[in-house]
Amino acid sequence: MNINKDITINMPQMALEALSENWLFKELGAMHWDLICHGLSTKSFDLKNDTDDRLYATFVRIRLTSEKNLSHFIENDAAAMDGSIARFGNSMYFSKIDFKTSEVAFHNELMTTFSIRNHGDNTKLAKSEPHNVDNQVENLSKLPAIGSEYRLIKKRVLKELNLGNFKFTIDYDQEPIFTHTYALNPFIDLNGVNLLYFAAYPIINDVCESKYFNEQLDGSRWEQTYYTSHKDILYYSNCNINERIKYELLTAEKQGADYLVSSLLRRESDNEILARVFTVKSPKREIA
Amino acid sequence: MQEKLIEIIQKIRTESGLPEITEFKEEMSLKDDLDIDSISMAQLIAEIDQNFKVDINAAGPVQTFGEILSRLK
Repeated sequence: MNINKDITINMPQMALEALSENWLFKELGAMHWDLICHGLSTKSFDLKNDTDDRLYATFVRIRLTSEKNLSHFIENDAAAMDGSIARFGNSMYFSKIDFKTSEVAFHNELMTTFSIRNHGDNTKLAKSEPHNVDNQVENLSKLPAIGSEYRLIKKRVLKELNLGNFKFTIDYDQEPIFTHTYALNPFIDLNGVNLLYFAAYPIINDVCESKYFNEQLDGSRWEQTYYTSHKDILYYSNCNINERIKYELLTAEKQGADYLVSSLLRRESDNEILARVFTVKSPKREIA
Repeated sequence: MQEKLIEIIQKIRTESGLPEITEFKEEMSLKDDLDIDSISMAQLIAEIDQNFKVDINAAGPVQTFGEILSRLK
């Protein structure tokens, strides 16, 4: 199951003189969802479980890797998206989507399950799966590494994570070196069904992260100096509109020109982890 | 059949970084006693389907080791 799409990079796709990470996440999510619906020969609105409850795609993990960062995408670039999808059983879907121009390529892997909503409480989403569908998506015989790794990290077993050519050491008892509390902006953080949007997690993370790094830099802004080349988000939970999010910066390591940053997002009300985030950022492209 | 099911559960637990279970009882909860989380549950359903050609969730979600056995009979 494949989908291709051509896009010209203009202002809606850009932020901070680079490709907008938020736009990229939304576009990747939309293509992942299109791939699922295409493979199940249904529309997202009609996707239901055996008790006729509406199913929502729940992002489990998204991993972006690229040799060059987002600042290498330039206005008016012609970009191509090329996505494929497979499943493991009836509930887990795995897509691989490349987003590239002649200058830079982001390789993106997305993993989702399906959830139903329980009485509108976003903290109590229940797992479910599609019912009565003509499923044409390739069924894998083995759980892909992106899924088995997620499980090992959630169970606090995996000690090292490879992200592209970078290696993160994971200390599950690491005390944060910086914390920041973020109040949700419902107009941009919540999706069409009032859930914390999967594409909001990385931006909330980066907003909080910049508070730390802007204190370290001499006058220049972190957001306009370092850009994402790799990101790995492991999604654990969701939250309601009145929630505040606690950001915990766990590690910030400089390796050559790159920064390796790991962090947690937590619900402030009960301290539950919403997501674990691994990021590599590198300096903005040099403009000739 | 029971031996194959135990083998599948042990494999999933090992892949999850968990030790093998020494004794299985029918009343054991998949979630609380066998530490089968949502991803492991999806893997269990898929591996049972591959090995036994049975969708153990077809009649609703299973909660215990014994419920899986009864649906495989």
